[in-house]
Amino acid sequence: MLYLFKIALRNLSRNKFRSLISILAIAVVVAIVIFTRGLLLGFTESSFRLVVDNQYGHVRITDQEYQAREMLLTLDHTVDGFQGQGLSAMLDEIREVEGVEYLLPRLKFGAMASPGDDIIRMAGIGIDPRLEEQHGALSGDITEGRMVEEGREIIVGKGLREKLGAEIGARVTILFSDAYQSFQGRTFTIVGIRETGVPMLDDSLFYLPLSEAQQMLYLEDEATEIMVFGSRLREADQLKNNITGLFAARSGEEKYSVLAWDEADPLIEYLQVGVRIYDIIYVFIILLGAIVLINTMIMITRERTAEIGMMGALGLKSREILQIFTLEGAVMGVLGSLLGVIPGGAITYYFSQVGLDYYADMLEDIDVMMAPEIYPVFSLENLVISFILGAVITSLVSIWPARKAANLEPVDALHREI
Amino acid sequence: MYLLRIAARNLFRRRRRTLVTAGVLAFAIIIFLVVESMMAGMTEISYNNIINLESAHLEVGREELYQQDFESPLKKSFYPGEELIAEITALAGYRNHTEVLEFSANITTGRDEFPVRVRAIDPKSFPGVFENDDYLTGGEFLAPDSGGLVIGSQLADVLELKPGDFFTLLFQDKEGSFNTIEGEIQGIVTTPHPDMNLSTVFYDREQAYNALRVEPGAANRIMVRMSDRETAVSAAESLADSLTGTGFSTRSWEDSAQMVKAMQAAGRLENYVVLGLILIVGAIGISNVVILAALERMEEIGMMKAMGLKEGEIVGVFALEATGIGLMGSIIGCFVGFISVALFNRFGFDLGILLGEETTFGIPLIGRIYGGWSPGSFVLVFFFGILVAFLASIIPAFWAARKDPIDAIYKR
Repeated sequence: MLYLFKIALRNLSRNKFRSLISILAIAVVVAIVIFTRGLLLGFTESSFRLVVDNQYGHVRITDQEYQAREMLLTLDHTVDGFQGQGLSAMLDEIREVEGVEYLLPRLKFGAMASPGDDIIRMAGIGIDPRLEEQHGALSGDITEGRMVEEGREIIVGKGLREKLGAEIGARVTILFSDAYQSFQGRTFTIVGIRETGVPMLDDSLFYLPLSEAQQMLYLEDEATEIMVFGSRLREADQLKNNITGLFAARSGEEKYSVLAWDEADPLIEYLQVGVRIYDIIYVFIILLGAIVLINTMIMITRERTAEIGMMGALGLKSREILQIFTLEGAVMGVLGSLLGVIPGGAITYYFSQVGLDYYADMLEDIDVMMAPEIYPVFSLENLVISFILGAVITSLVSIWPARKAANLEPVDALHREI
Repeated sequence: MYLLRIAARNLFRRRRRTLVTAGVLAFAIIIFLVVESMMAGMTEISYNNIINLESAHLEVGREELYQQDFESPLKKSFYPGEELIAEITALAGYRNHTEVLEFSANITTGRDEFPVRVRAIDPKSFPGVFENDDYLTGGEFLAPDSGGLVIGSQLADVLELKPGDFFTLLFQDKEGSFNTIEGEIQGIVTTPHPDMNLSTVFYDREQAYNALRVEPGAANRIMVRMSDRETAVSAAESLADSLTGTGFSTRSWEDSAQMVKAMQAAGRLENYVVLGLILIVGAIGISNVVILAALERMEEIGMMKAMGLKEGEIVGVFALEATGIGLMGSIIGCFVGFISVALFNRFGFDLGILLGEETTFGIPLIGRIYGGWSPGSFVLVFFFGILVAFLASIIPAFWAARKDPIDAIYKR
C-alpha cells in the first residue's frame, strides 16, 4: 500500500500545474461550504437562541388550551399546579426531575398605557428576577438601568420606551384587565431598558416582578407558562420525556402540555427543514468542484495508458491499479480540502466578528424572532466537518475514473499506444 | 475565421469533457433564472395583495397622519372637501376612490380580547377600490346600513367567532374617552394577505361617527385606485407637489410595500452571490479544460507555431474554445431555465407545503405562488456566462501558448 501511495504521489507531481488547478477547485468549493455552513449556523443558532430565551426555554409547560390562544394573552388558562395546588409546589416537584437545571415561571398579560392622549398596546411579562438573573438572557440585554427587584418596577423594551417617551426613573401608569376581567391601572417606575435589536421584543414588551404581576392580576401562585432549562439544548427531548413522566404520575397530562422548544414554533421547524436542505446543497457544491477533478483524472488515465499496460504486464493486479489512481485523486481531494479550510475559515472568522446585516430593513415589519445581524459561527467543528466532507466526497468520486484505468487489458493498453 | 474553425473543431474533440464543464455553467444559470422567477412572482403577488387588499394604489391624508408620533389616527380625520376630491379625480389614470376612517381598537368577545385595526368604510365605493369583498368565506360583506362587522378568518379562528356572534370594540374616541361599538359579526373573509385575515376588521362608516365622536362624513384616508402601478407612483409624485402647503400629503403603494422591497433586495443579493459562487467553480473548470487541452495538444501547438501562427493567435484558439464552452453553457442554461420558468409560471408552487398554512412570517401572501418573467435576467446571465468562460481561459491560454513545444515533445 505504501508503495502504491508513493507511485501516486510521484504521479501527482508529474504535472504540477494541472494538479494544482484540481486542488484549487476543491479548495474553492470547500471554502464555499465552510462559509455557507458558518452563515447558516449563525443564522439558525441566533434564531433558536432568541426563541429559547424568550419564548420556550428548552421545554415549556403551559395549559393545553393556552397553546392555541396564546396570541390573545388570555388569563383563563394558567398554570396553577397539579390539581390546582399552586404553582410553587409544582415548581418544586419539577425541580426534582432528572435533567432539570432551573425553571423560569412567567406570567404574560395584555396591557395598555396612555401617556398622552393615546393608547399604546403592550404585553407585560411577570418574571422571577432572581431566576432570570441566573439564566442571564434577559438581564444581559439590559443596556441601561438595572433588573427589576420587587414591587412596582418595570423594564421596558427600547422601542416601547420611545413610544412612551419616558426615561429611566419615569413613572408610567399601565392599564390592564385582571383575571376577573375588570379594568385596572397601576403605576410603575421604569428601572431598566432592554435592547435586543429584535423589533418584536423591543417594541411592545415590558417586564415586572412575578409576585407583583400575580398580585395585581389576582393570580396568586399562578403563571401562564413555565420555561424549563436543562444543561444542554440538544437533550431537550429527553428532558421533555422526563417531565412528561412526572406529569403522568401526578395526573397533570390532561390539563397541561409539555413541549420541547423545537415542537412549539413553526419557524423552528421551517428552519430545521432548511438546514436539512442545505446539507444536500453542500454535497452538491463539492460535486461541482469534483467535476474538475474527474476531468483531470480522465485525461491522466488516457495519458498513461501505456504505463497502465506496463504495470499490468509487470503483474500489478487491477485492484492495485485502481488503488494507485484513486489514491492520486484522493490526495488531490485531501490537499484541496485542507487548502480550502484556510480561506473559508478566514472569511468566516472575519464575518463572525463584524457580522452581516443585509436584511435588517426587512425585519421592521415582520413579526419573527430573528436577530437583525447574522454572525456566522466560526468553529473548529465546522472546519473539520467541511474538510471531511470535501475529502471523502472527492475521494469517492475519484474511484470512478480510476476504475476505467484499472479495467484496461494490459495488452490492449500497450497496443493502443503503438 | 480560420482560428474560429480550429477552435470549433477542438471543442468537439472531447465531447464529454466539454459538455460536463458547460453543464456547470448551465447549472449556475438555471438556478439563477428559477430563483429570479420565483422572486419576481412572489413580489408581483405581494404587490397585488398589498394594493388590492390593504393600501390601494395611492392614498391622501393629513400630513400629520404619516408622522410617527403614535397619536390616535382619529385626531387626524378631516372632512374631504370638494376641492381635494376634484384634485384626486383629475389625476391621469384615476379610476375610483373611497374614503376610509381608520382607528385602532380592542375586539372583545366575552373573555378574550385582541387588538385590531378597524377600517370604517363606505360600503358603496369600497369595492371600486379594494377586492376584500371578493374573498368572503362566510356571511355577508358590508352593505349600506348594515351594522355588522367583517373580520378575517384567522381572527375568527382565534376568537372562535362565526357570523351572527356578538362583538364589542373598545377604543378611545376622538376626544380621548373610552367608548365601545357593539354588534354582530356579519362576514368572514379569507384573503391571500395574512395581515388582513388577523388584525384588520371592517365596519360601516355611517354607523361609527357617533361613537367615534367625529363629524359625519369625516375620514382620515382617501384611498384611490389607479389604472396601473406605474401611473400610481408618478401620480403620487405630482399630487404630492400640488398638495404642498395644503396640509395634506400622499402616499403611494410603494411606501406600503417597503418590506417587500427590502425582502426582494435581500433575495436578489443572495441570488447574485450564489450565481457568483457557482460561476467561480465553473471558471476553474474552464481553466482546467484549457490546461488539459493544451497538455494533450502539445504537438499541435508546436505544429501551429511551426506553421507561423503567432503566440497571440494560439491564445486566441484556446480562448475561443473556452468561450465556446461558455456559449454552450449559456444556451443550455437559458433553454432549460426557460422551460423551468415556463412550467413554474404555468403550474405554480404551493407555499403551504413549505411554510404551512397560517405562518408566512409577515410576507404578504398565502397560498400558491407563480413565477414571473424577467427577460432582463435571461439576457444578463446569457452574456455573463460567456464572459466568465472567456475571462477564465485567458491566463491558461497564455500559459499554453508560451510552452516551448520542442521542449515538451522532447521530454515525452
